[in-house]
Amino acid sequence: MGAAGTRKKVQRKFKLRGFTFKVEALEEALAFLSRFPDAEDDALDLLIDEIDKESLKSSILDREAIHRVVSLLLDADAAVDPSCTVASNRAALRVIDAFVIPRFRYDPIKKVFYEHTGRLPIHGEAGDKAALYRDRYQLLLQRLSRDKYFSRPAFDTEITDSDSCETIRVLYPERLKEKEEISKFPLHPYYSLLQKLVFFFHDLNILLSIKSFSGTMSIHVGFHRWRIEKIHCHYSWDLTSLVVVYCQQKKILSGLEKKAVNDMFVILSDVWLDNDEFGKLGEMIEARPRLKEQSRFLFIPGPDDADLTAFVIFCRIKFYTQEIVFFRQDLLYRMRRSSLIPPSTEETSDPFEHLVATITHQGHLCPLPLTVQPIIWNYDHCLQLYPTPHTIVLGDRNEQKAFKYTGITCFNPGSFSNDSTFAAYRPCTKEVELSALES
Amino acid sequence: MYGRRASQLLRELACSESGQLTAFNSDAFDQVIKECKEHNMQLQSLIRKIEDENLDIQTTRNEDHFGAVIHHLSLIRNKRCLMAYMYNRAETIQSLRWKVGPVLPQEIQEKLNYSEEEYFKNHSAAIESCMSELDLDLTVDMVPPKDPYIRVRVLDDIGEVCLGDHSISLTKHSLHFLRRTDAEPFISQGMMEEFLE
Repeated sequence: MGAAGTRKKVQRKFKLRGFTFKVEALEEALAFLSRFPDAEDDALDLLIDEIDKESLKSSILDREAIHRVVSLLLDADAAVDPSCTVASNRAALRVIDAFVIPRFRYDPIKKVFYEHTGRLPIHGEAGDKAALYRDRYQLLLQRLSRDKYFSRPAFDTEITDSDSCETIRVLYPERLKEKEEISKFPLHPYYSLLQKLVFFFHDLNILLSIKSFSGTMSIHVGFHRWRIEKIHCHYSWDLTSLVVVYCQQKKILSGLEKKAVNDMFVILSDVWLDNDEFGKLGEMIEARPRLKEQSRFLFIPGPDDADLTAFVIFCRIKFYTQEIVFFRQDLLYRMRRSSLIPPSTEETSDPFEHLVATITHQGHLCPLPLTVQPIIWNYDHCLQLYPTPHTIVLGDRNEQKAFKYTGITCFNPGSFSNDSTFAAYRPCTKEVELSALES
Repeated sequence: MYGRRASQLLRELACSESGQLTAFNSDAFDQVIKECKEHNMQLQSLIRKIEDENLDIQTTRNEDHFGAVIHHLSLIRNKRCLMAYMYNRAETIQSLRWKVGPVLPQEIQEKLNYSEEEYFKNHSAAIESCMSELDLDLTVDMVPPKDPYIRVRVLDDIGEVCLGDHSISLTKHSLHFLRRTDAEPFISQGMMEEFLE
């Protein structure tokens, strides 16, 4: 079939779907089809289907729209290559840069989250300080207002089965599954080719389907939760790293995560190394080739290290689908010092358990006033634990402890320098082994 | 009063012009669903109460029975109102596919709920698959044309588009003599109008 024939066929097929081409768009589509001389019809059908899935602004197709879809298809084509296994290996452990964590703010009137776009200066203005406290408050308010115990009853009748002692427990992160409102997130520019992403909260990761539309992304979890199965392709997106992973890949990832039985984090906290000792450590590691090849080392500075702001003493890691937050701070000591009301001993008298409960309820790693714990105002959102991660590691000077609270594994590996204690964490079973060196 | 919110939802629908959509009132919609849940709970607790008193549910006619009946009727009424709301909107959305085309303009898109967007897409896909099987565009020539060609005036800067074998530059206020089937989608989207001397 000649070029004119193809041209006519493309136009006709698109016409039936109600689309009209601009001249450049038609050229682009024809260029795409000419890549597949053997399977022109299949390629055309694929192109039309993909165009249908896109939410376009107008039925007159311009070059940009076609180009977007074409590059998406070509990317997908390229991803089938065997080279993608390398990518999934790399996906096993990702350290998330604190400076790229998107900042979401809550609009209490529209009841939506929106991403703060624009630069966040390290040295904030006075208004940023107020915004820090306001954002912390809004976030708590949002969590509370969505809860059934705090929302207004449907009628003004008395509810007989209200249980007052339950009201404290309602801040559980499991509640995240019961999303009710529609929220809009502007897209991260990196994924702008994926335009509108409709996604679903599912556990603490988010399942989403790609529906492109004018650069806004909406969360819709209404009365149609069963729709999840009906959507063609799922993407997983997590709030902290803003990485869109194919659902297939997510499945692969969670599969790999289950297989990674032998993968283990060994966490030493409160380790004091000067320059010489650091060099010695390097030599020690160098001398053991198996250790060097098969392990990854991550050094998180502590609060008293020179030249460091309080901000970088925490770190977020993504291990397959799990999110792990490391925080090196003598948090328990500081929290107990600043606690106004002594915690009730009704359920537990263990201060560590109180601490874990407090930070998960507050949704913040360091819910202290700025006078106690200075934080870079504009980057307070990085410390927020909302949505809650799977694991929190609190590197504390105090004795080692592990505590599972509402599905979050939280532990303190203990102080290595004081009593030679450390912890090993197996992410596949979420088990913590508290260990110590024999002295 | 039970069921008031649901009727307000419908009143909103009735007040808008037919064929036009208002923004999906998810606030009120969710409220009504919440009311339904509450009715259900009250209903069940009343029934449990009757059962606990060892009375026959079929024949008992005490105040609990009538309370339960009221809750049940309110529940059904709320449900019916919600269905009517969804159904009427769905009808309008279906008609949009024929009137506007496969892509809704931003103003309309904003008014749709997520499930409605999906509905529109799926409906549109169903029509399109039917049309490609027939190899016939069903959306054009809704009124039998007297003349296969039409004189049109372009109302918007559309740019250079491909129509038939040749490309044509559709600049604002220009006059063209086009095939009716080519011009109709533009007319329905308000980008062109028939030029009458």
